[in-house]
Amino acid sequence: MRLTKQVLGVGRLIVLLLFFILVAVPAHAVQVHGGIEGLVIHQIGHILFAGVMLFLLILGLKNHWCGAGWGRFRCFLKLIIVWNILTFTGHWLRLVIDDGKFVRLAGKTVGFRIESFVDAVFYLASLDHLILLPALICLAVALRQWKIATEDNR
Amino acid sequence: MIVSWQPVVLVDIFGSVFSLLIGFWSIGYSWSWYREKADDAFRHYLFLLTIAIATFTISRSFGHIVKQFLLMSGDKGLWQEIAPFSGAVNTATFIVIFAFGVYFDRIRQIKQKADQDALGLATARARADAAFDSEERIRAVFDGLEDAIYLVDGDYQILFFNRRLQDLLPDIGIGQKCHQALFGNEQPCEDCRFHCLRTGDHFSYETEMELIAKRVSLTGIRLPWVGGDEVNMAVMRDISEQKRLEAQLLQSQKMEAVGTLAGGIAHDFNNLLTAITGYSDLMLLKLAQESPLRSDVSEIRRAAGRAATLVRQLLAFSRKQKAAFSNVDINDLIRNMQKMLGRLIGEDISMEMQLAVQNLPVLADPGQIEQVVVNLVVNGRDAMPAGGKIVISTEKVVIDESYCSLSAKVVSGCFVLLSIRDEGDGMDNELMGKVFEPFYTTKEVGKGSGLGLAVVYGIVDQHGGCIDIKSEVGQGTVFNVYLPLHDGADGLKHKKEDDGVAPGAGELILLVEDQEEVQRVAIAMLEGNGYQVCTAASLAEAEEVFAREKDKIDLLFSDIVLPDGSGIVLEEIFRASRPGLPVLMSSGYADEKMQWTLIQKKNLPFLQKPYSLEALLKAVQLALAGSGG
Repeated sequence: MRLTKQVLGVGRLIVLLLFFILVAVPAHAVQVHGGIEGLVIHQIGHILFAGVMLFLLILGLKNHWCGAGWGRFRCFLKLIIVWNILTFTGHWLRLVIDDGKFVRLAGKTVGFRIESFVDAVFYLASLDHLILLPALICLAVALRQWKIATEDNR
Repeated sequence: MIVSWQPVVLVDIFGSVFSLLIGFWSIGYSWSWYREKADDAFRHYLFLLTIAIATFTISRSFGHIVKQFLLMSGDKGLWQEIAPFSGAVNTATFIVIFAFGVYFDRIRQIKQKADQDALGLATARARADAAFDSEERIRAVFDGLEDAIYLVDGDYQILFFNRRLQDLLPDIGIGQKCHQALFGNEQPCEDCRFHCLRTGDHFSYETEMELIAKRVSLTGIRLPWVGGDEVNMAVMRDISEQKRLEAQLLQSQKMEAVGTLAGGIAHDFNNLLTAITGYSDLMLLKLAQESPLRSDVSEIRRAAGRAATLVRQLLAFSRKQKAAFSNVDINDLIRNMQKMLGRLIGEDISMEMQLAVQNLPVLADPGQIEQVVVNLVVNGRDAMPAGGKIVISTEKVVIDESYCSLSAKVVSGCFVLLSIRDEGDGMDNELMGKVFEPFYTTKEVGKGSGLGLAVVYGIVDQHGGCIDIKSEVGQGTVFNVYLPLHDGADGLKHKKEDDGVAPGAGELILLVEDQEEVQRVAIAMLEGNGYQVCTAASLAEAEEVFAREKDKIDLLFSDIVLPDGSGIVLEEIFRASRPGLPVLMSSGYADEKMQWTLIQKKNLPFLQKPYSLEALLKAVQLALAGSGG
């Protein structure tokens, strides 16, 4: 059992290393990080963020985490995964959305032309706070319940 | 279809603002939750994760608010410069969250394991504490016992002992052999049967602990022990004091028995001596002055007198001598005796008085107390043939319950302590145990009757007191006499007897006496001196005579102890019929049968046997004159 856990731990590190080696651009002391690199790294960040949240969600279901706060915490995990997917999608779609779709008036965006499913998804993705805010509320409530449970136990 | 971009901006602005607030809110909860148990690794971890998520939230929200502000203010260029930094911070927080998240479960498992271990430790500690408390309680019970208790294994090695045993043997320790540590024996004790006991069996015996000079009773029991073993438990009780008291009680009972025997003998002797004395007196009256038999009869009379003295001493020892109690100050009594005592002890011995300053009243017969002092001083004198000093001291003391156990008659309270100390050779324990026995003497044959200290013992006991001796060989002896302190009420008074004897004038005396020889001599003495006598040998016979001669009888002269009743009962019957009838009571001894207290209460004239002719005639004369009764 302990051996299995150790293998799993080492495995995670190897996956991480391979990920950075294969996906990230080779870095040198004087390398310039420009262009799409920032977006790629940011997207990788979203993937890692969503991945680890999914990992925790699966662990929670598998190990039957229960008790005060854990329900809200699971809810947070689900919502933050959805948010990551949504924003990940939004970031990629921004690359393919033509600037002409944005209706501007006096240099300010006032409207958006939805002419396809992708446009609609991008528009919805731009409203990501509608997912993020409930997710954060769930996290805060979970923390509050843990605190209260601790006080009650004491 | 063109949709308004305004909802996107509004959601972004308000969402960012609220996210910012919730981010700080979450940090606050996480911090306070973490702080309640800062050493909890899981909380620490979750706090850091929360910080990472909140940092991301704050960073992103702040960035979006700035973005919207700059876009609305038309400064898009500045935002394009800031945007990469905001995005990079967000990305970095994603990485941090990932790094924390990967180890979330691992840390959670560690936390669970740590909690389980802590619980196990707490449980184990609670059990250990409970076991410790239990042992402490059991030890407290064992240490609270008066008995010494110890446990030994099959090899006689001590496994446990209580405080009482440690008090007796301060050097005792676990692992020592019990027979060595307690009794100084190299081998197991002879009476010990630990080696052949089975579970539940026990044995008991008494033995001497020479190491601490105590007598103990020891009970051994085989008990089941932890781990299926068996152990021997010994319960040891110090019975030294109990044995000492038992010996004293035995001595006291022996003295009581000897006293009863002496009293009985004295009674019979008195009757015989009454006859001898009486007939001697009659013979002396009848013999001519020049008769050669006269000196022989006088010798018989003197011998009878000495025998009567011995009998009186026996009676004194056996507490059957009549005593006339009155309120006596011991200090006054001793001061009055000082000159006489000085002559008694001779010139070689000095005498020192250390009398208490205050009065020390006791309810006592002064004559008997004087006899006590004289006997003890003479005893001291005889113990110092080469001279020395006798110290007589008095003081007021309080006797407690434990001391009272030495004598059944002594009750706790205030006592007068009369001490007479000499500088003689002293006595060993064996001698001290015998000195109060009658006829026990260390003096040469013919130099002491062996009754002096026995008489002291009897008198002190009769007065409700007690006596003890403190002595060591070569260190002198102290006799301590304890007499109850009296509150000052006057005792009984004595009548003074008038001198002079006159013969009778034909008065009729009813003589009630069951002893034939006494009856005969009394008749001879009375009839020979002008009295008429009618006789009876029992209460019933006396009643018959009285019924017949009721008006003629001038005096009832009765023995107190009759075969079918008491002379006092007879007195009551006769006086009920003839009030004022003169009576004279007589007896050979003064025990309960004699009812001396009742005689004193009724103030009846009394004549102690053996009596001489002169004493009889004087008593009869006084009784007829109505000076008693």
